[in-house]
Amino acid sequence: MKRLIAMLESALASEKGRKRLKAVGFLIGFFVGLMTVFQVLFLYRVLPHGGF
Amino acid sequence: MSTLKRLFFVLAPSIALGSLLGAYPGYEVYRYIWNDARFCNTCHVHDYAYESWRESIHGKLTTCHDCHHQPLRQYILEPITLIMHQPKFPKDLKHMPNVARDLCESCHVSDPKFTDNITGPLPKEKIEQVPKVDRLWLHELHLNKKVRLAAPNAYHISDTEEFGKGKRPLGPERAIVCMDCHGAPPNRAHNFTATDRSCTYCHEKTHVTDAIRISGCRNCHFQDFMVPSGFGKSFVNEAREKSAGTSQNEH
Repeated sequence: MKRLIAMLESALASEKGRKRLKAVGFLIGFFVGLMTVFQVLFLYRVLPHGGF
Repeated sequence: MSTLKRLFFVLAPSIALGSLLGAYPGYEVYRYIWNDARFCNTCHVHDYAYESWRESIHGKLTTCHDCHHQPLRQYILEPITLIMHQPKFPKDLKHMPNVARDLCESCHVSDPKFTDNITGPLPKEKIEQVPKVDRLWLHELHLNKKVRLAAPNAYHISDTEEFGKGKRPLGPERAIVCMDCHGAPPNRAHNFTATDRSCTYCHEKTHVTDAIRISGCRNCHFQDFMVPSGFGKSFVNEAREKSAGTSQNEH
């Protein structure tokens, strides 16, 4: 945990590191957004007629 | 400012932007999986069924998922089946494909329980124009009857040989479903027209003369399934009364 925090601090300290963090955040957000919309719509269709 | 706070201010905007931009591809993935028959056809082994569906009226108005629903756990099991023991031929399938009655009713009865499952190219307002079978005489009569046949999803696809001989497993009493006449082995590959074989599972001993056996059920009874309920009853009863008057040996 300490090592992770140290890594994050060093990444936040430099401009290049911050850019990388932003890119990682964008990818995480993109995946979360994609999966959330897909799963909500898919479950909305499947569950009323098929159930679990 | 603590590390976590600084991290939040760096990540939050990019995560929010990513989520917004990811929503549209998410919708497209859903649309492809749910609405596009090509997705289903990449794994399923029934090319003939795909072709016959595409050529039928249902191919122009519905998607696979409009009619074929399954429990959520089956969607999870499907990738495992695909990797571990992928079916090579239709006979390798575990069950006969089944379409629940309420799914057919979404378009084909006048007061359906559900209509939200229809996602195909058929517009909602056009569903009103689809013929409503609960207003057609023999359709209405059958929809209100019960049978002791096994449910259409209860038998294995390899049972089709027995079906060909006119046998069908028995089961607990239940309401007649659309698939009893418009599905199962006599109606393979999206051929939804009821066949004489569909009738004889219940009506084998209704008629005893060879003439009736040769001419088949639908030559006489097809129109009874298509006439409106009130009209059909009076018209057919009148015809039967006349017929009974001239011949005691009708069938």
